[in-house]
Amino acid sequence: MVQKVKAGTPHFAEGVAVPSQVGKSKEDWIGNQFRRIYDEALEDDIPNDMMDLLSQLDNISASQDSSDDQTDSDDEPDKESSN
Amino acid sequence: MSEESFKEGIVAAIPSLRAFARSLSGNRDRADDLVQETLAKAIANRERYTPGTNLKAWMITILRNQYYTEGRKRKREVPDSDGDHAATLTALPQQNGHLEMNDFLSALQCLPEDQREALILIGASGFSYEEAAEMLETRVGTVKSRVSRARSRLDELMSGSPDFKRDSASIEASRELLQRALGV
Repeated sequence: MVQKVKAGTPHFAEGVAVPSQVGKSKEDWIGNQFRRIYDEALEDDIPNDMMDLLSQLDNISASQDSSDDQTDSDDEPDKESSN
Repeated sequence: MSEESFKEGIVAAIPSLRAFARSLSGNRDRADDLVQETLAKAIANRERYTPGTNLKAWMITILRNQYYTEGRKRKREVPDSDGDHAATLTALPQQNGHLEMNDFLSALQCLPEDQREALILIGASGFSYEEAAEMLETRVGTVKSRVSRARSRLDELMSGSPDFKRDSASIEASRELLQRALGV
């Protein structure tokens, strides 16, 4: 098929994104992509591994409620002592 | 701050952390590993968190440090040059100009790290320039210029920068790389 191409008009091969098309909403397309990534992360179930890790905090608060003895104020408590 | 509200705050921040990690690393599996490590560190260091300050920002700072600490180790093991990322881009705008999320993640990996993280903090995580500057330990003006350069670079990449080859061999190579990177 013969196509007339005006002089000075950029001509792009089929299948290659045309800048004017891609860059139509310059600011927006990047924001839209990020929104999709966030929405996807929001929809994904939180992996069990992560929730298991967070359940350590339940144990900490439970032990704080039940016993009021000396407080472990180490910055980085031992992993073994968390259970 | 009680452990319950600390935990609630962390759970609420998880989608943001995962989105941030995916955008930063371009790899879902690695992203979740990073989040997992971040949670462990946040729990271990919870005394260092100041109640009332932005918990999400605190955790993203941990994640970012983790990413760069690992990155320095990884770079020595697996040389993943910018050239490889550029190759993934050759397959990019082929499908009717429709940009898939994986393509976008891949395109982000073409940005220099300082620009990429600035763009993600502002464009994706919803931080202000001031907050981002604090997290990145730099000036507001620097964050602004990094974001702006990142945006132009992405525009340029998406509009088919002549820097990138488009022959079928590199497209095929890029598909494989992309699939491997995203664990498809």
